[in-house]
Amino acid sequence: MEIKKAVIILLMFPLFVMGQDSTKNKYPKRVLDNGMLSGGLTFAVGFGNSKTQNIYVQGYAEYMFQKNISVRGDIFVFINSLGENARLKMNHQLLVFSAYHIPTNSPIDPYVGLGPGLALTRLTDGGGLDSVSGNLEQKIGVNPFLSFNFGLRYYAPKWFHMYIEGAYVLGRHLSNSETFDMSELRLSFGLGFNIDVLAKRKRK
Amino acid sequence: MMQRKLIAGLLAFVLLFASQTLGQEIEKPKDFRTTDGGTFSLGMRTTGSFFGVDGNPGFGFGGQFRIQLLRWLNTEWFADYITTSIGDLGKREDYHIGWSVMFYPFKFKQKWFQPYLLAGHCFDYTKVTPYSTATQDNSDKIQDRWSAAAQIGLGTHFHIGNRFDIGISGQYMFHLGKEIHADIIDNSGVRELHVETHKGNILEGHLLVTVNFNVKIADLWKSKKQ
Repeated sequence: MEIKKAVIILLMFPLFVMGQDSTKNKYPKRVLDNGMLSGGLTFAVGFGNSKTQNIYVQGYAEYMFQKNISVRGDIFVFINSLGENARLKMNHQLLVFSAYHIPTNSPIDPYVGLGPGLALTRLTDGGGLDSVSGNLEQKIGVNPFLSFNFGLRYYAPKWFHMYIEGAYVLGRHLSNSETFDMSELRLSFGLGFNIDVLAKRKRK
Repeated sequence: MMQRKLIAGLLAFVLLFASQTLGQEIEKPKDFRTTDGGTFSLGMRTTGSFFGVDGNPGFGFGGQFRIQLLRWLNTEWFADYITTSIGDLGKREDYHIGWSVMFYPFKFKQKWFQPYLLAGHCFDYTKVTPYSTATQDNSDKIQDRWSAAAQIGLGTHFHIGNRFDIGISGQYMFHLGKEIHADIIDNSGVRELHVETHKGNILEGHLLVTVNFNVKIADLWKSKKQ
């Protein structure tokens, strides 16, 4: 019961904060500007080509150094792979991409991005014979990938934004035994935090 | 000890990056597209490798920084990690670290498009791994080599705003080093990968197509033109 209450409070808290923010301060037409530093933590689900679902914990940090353009770094910590053809035991990923935020006269912020990433991948089964131990071994592979990103954010002016976003990740697992297509369509949503690190200087 | 030094170096780099970026943010925005030189920029890239000795396309992850010396001359310092699948029977890994000089021979009225010619040098480490199977351990057949390379090519920046650009380039890279040869052989209906290293140096090349993005961070020596 206590846990349920805590979960409800946690889920509702951002809505209260965002609601108060928007009633006290009417939304400016465009809240995004250079100097905006944002970050978030959420879960992501990747839908692979072989009817598998990969689950991740996703964290990101983003800095807008110029109007409408940002650079962002994402970390994906692999949790599990589901589905009959699921074969990945590990798929941790690091991604860096630049995003173009399409100008709108509203707190809604659509964006598209493109960037490279590196994945640490390992298969659950198969593998190659290790003659020393006599066992089949699945070694970890370090594999580059390319990510096409897109998303939609809704900003409360000062502190928070909610977002829904997707990415198509294009890459292959190469290791000591066989190749595996790790391309997937990845979706996530959640609550992010943002702060204008240049606000004081802008006021001067 | 080595790791600590590496972490300290990375932290110093990040702090320098942040201080330079934040420090220049508020002043009247500089127009780095028309600089006379001194621009330092940092970016990431993805590289496709084509027409290599193994005949398979590769795919890579990397980064670069640039120091522009003159209005018509820029330098790019890069590192790439490229992996290539060899017929699903093995893989090739290429590590590149090098530099290119970029020449801007044309001056256009518009600022968003800036083509260039490039040439440079590169040092490389290549490793070819034949996959092990359920019945055969091929880990002792891994071959590697160090090589030096020279590259030439052309590309263009697409400037978006004063401080950001995306770009695409194509370059042909010649490697001088000992030959690593990977052949797929049909052995009574079973495909096998044979990897061989030959004595003596040879020249082998591949075409690299790179897509990159860059953030112009600092004006290292204040250029006259803004």
